[in-house]
Amino acid sequence: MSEQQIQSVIRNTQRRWFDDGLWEIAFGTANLFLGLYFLLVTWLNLDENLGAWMAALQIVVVLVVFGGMRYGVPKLKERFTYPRTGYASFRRPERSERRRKAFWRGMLSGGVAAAVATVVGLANAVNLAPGVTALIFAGMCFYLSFRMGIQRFAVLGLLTLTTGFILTQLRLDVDSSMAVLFIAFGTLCALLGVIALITFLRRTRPITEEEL
Amino acid sequence: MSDSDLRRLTEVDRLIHEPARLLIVTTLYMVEQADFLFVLTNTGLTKGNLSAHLSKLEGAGYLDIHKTYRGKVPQTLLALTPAGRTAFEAYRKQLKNLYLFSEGEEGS
Repeated sequence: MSEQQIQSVIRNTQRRWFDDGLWEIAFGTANLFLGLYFLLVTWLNLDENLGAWMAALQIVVVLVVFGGMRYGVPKLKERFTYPRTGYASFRRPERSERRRKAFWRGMLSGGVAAAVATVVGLANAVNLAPGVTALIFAGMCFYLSFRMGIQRFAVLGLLTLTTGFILTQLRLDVDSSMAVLFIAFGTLCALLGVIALITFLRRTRPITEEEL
Repeated sequence: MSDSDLRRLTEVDRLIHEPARLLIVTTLYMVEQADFLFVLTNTGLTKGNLSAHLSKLEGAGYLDIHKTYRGKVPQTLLALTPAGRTAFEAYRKQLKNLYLFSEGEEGS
């Protein structure tokens, strides 16, 4: 077996995490909730009503939504995935490695956002915030698609880019357009996850104790 | 490269070098632990074949096999030992060196 084949086995093993679409359903739902929260904030004008408490509320919402996702995905996998294709707990990179990666990802996202914002400012455009955010989301999707060899992430990236482009043309206010972008991205992500889950459930069946 | 260098390069870990076992070890290298079913579906080996290879890896101290229950269902958890991880990393390094050596030979 050559090094390329070993890397191919490694990639296939990593890809198993996304086989069932549960991660996308959870991540999509989390973004959908965030979008709905942003929309609620805009409608109720919470920014002005809550003042300094708004920042604290935002942190709590993000923690609850993504904390729920971290708790929910393993529970769902326990129910749907492990009886069919087996249980695995994937290795997490070392703490120093995780920090290094997070730092460079942050720098890259910030750099892209700053570069696009500068171009936008120079072009004197009205509201390209959803376009810039969509670009970052799409970049993440394309990276995952390339790294894992999963085409539906590339589809999600393209759909997100299109949504971002349409939103920049609609000339909504920044808060509303960002809320709509999160809702659209979350819904698309969750829908693709549901399709993947249905395909997974049709393709596999629970293995009984006697069969093992 | 001298004969002894060349010999050292070709002295690969035969236990890991066997294709089915390499497939198992590569799969387990990516996880903290996995159950028998996960490795079975990931490698496409038969149950008997997989069991035999797992026993060999366990015998060499490369693999830790732990029998437990998931709810009421019995479960066999598999994890590479530190020795198994080191052996796999050394094997890959050796493979890369062999490749680089053969590239160099072709170039000269």
